Amino acid sequence: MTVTTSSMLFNAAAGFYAGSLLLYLLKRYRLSCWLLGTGFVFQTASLIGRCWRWGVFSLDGVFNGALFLPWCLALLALLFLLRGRQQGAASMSWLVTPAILITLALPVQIPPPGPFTATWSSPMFFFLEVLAVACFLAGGWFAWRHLRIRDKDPLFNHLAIWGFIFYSLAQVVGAIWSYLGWGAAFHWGERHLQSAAIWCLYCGYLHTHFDRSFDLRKKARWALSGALVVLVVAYALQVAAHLTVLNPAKTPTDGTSQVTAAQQVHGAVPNACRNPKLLEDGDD
Amino acid sequence: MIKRLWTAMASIRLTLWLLVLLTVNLFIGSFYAKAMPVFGKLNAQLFPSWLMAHNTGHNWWIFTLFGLLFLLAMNTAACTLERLSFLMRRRGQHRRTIFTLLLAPSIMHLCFLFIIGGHALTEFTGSKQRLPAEVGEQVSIEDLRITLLDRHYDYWQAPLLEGVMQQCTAILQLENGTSVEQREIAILEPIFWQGYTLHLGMAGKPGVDTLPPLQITVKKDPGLLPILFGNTVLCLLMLWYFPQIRKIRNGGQKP
Repeated sequence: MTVTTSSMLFNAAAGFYAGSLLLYLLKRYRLSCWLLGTGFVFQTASLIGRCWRWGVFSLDGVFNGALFLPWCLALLALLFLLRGRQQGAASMSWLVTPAILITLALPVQIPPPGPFTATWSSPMFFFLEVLAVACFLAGGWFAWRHLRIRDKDPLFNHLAIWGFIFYSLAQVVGAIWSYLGWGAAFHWGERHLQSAAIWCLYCGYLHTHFDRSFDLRKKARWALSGALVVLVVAYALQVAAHLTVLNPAKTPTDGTSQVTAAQQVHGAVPNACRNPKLLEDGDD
Repeated sequence: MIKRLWTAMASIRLTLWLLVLLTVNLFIGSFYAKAMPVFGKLNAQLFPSWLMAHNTGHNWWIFTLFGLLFLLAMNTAACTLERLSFLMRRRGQHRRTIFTLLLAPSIMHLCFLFIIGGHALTEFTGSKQRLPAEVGEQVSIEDLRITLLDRHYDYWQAPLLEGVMQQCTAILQLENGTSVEQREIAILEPIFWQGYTLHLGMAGKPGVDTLPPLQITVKKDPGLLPILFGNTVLCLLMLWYFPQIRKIRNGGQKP
């Protein structure tokens, strides 16, 4: 499957998701869910196609937040539908559609597979992390609905708990990846400190259950605030790091400067080493 | 006095405050870590030696972080002990499965103590050293000697990935006073030798016509096992506990 086919499928998925939102606004919940499901099928095919975008099978970039988050949100919507929450499932188009339209409007640059990503732990970490982010965001969405509509459904609570479980699993897998690649389970860097902060935030949320002064509304406020933090830190900042508009192709300078985490993860800049002798021999 | 202190230390309200303060502290720390490269050096040095070299006012967030983590560990230990003593007094009143389920959160909290204890061991004990991975470079630790004999770069063959590095490998000579052996090390493929782990990494950007500089990190990390053990058991218990407890709250029915 070519990159073009994958992109076309992605665009088609975006169209179906947008249609789903439109039908939700028209209160045609059943049809809205159908379009959400169709968009999900198209996006799944697009993601599978992306595995061969470099001409070899590689999961690098497939689970990038910009591309994978809409899929995770749509998956959650379909799970709600299976549980008989048709209106709630259709309402998820409010999250899925902006997430995919932002990716279409602001394309991300997926780096080629490098030496630091050639392990099962790398794609699994991103898979679990984005799935957790989707649970947190959906939790925030249903918390907001809970506060606004005053329904008694504690769905946001279940989503926050599952988000916390996936996030914890992501941290374990990430720690293994980090240890194998960089020799430490935890790094004193922006990314790891922010992940720890989000983990503490939701760990606190889980413990509100044992404080009698926290009723469902107060918990909903915590889940909503948590989702807003996650939206900025774990989605916007992570996606911004890959946006083509914010990261034009840089010209590499000398080899002595300190390498960034992203460059370490993805190895060399494409076509950076143009010395034919080095490319042929591979030795120094 | 001691009883009051114990009650305060075992309070859930204290847990909530500590977790909120830790969240804020970690976010502030992340901005410091991004803005000031000096904090990145913590990855190459143990905390005490790093502190001796970089003792400035900008480190305040690390001290508050350690302080909050210490308080959280005390709070977790106190809460867990209270809960365990409560459960043990009533263990005859529950079926074994229910009792195990009720015990699970306490085990999860013990796992958390393992994890932060492991991180403390990693930061304060063991050893960390970095060796520039250049042919002929040598590093000595106690009576051990590591020499880099050769290094090799592999590139992808697919047309779309022309010039993109796939893997770097290095051949090391390892001497321990009595024997000499040669081992191959690669990125993401560390080697374990004499209680140390050796990791190959990149030390700089690859230039247009130059290869990226490599480095070898030589580590002794006594905290790794408690961290991995604690994290794994914690996650497995969470995967079992939350669906089970939800099922029980729904009267044995799937919601």
